[in-house]
Amino acid sequence: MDHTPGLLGTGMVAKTPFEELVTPHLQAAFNLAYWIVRSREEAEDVVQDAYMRAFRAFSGFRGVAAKPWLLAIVRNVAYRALQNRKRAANVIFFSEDLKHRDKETLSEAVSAEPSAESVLMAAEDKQRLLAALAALSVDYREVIVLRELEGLTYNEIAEAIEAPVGTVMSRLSRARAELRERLARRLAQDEPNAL
Amino acid sequence: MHCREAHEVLSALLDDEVGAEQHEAARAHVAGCSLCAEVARDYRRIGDKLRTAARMPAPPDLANKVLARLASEPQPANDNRRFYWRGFAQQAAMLLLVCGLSGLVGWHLAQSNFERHRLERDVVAAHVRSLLQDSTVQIASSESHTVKPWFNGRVEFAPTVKDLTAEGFPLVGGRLDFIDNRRIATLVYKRRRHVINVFMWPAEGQNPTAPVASMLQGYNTLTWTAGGITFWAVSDLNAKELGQLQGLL
Repeated sequence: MDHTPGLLGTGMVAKTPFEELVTPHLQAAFNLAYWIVRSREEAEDVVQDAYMRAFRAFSGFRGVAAKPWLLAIVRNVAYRALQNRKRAANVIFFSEDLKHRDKETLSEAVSAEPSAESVLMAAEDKQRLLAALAALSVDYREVIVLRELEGLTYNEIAEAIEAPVGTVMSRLSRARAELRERLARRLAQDEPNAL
Repeated sequence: MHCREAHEVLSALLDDEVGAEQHEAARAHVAGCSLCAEVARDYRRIGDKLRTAARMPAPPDLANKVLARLASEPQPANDNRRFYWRGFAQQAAMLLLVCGLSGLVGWHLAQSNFERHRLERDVVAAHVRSLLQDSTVQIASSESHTVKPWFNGRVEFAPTVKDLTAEGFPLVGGRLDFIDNRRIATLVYKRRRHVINVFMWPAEGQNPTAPVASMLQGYNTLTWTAGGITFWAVSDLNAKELGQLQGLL
């Protein structure tokens, strides 16, 4: 397919308006999907479904910022995937599965393409950080991801999670406090000044 | 400000999303309180670490997969699209989805109108408030080269500042306002004895929009978007001359 690399932004011609607006956000879409469903495979499916929906809904898109609009769709699909997973799994089985899944995805995250800075961060330290983020409830985790990783403004986050800005503000505040507390509690035991 | 209050806005302070009134008080408190400063430092470091460590790289072939699915989209169902549901659940989910999406679109449309009325109330209130003060401006100058730099570091964008004395709209100066939960730039122009407040903030989209004129509490208002900035002009000046000012900015 000649047209394919256009999506990767490798300078192919004839991008549709849809591609132009939403393809730069593929990484952000995957990241958010991952941190909601916490499985790379499921996150891939979520992103694909979300892009199909975004594509179908695109004619209804009236040119506010594309990123929060797309992320709102990704989030809805991801939540639906979570619900389906819950419904599909026997409750006891489910919690077992989740434990296993956490371990699996954490080691995945640790080994994923280290950048110069992340090499400097001890792997153990990083694992703690990811575990702390994973341990947050999903509504806290998503605001942290949207703010700290994606750099959205409060207005944009409000649009993505379909909640008032005041809610964004208070959730972020509580999520940060909880993250800090989790990390401090653990770090205080072995390396008091690590944070 | 005490620690408890500061703690509530600390997170928003780091994101630069605290309202103008609270901003100074919160910053002053954090500067003088080692406890809050430490919390702020931790928040910042956790954020930095998350940015380097927690971002999940998308699989390199994901873009191609998405594109392949998009290419197959115009064809009717029963291709190899994968859904999480089957049969009845699939139909129900699709129905919900369609409702959700149309709701979203409708919400966006209704929202933009509602937004405009809400903002209009806010800017008219800010206009009236400015007239109650001893001075309508914090920086008084008709020099655009004096007024524009004053906004550096006070707002997060470069406002459009023009001296229109020659056109009969002398620039009085500028000030900060707080509209829609953020600090914005306000310029004050005059037309004869009429005070005109021009409120500006970064637009959400980059597309310019045509001016929309309206009237609230006897004040004429005019809003438009140009050059990535949303403008609101409010004055007791007649709508026609207010329109002239819009043309000049």
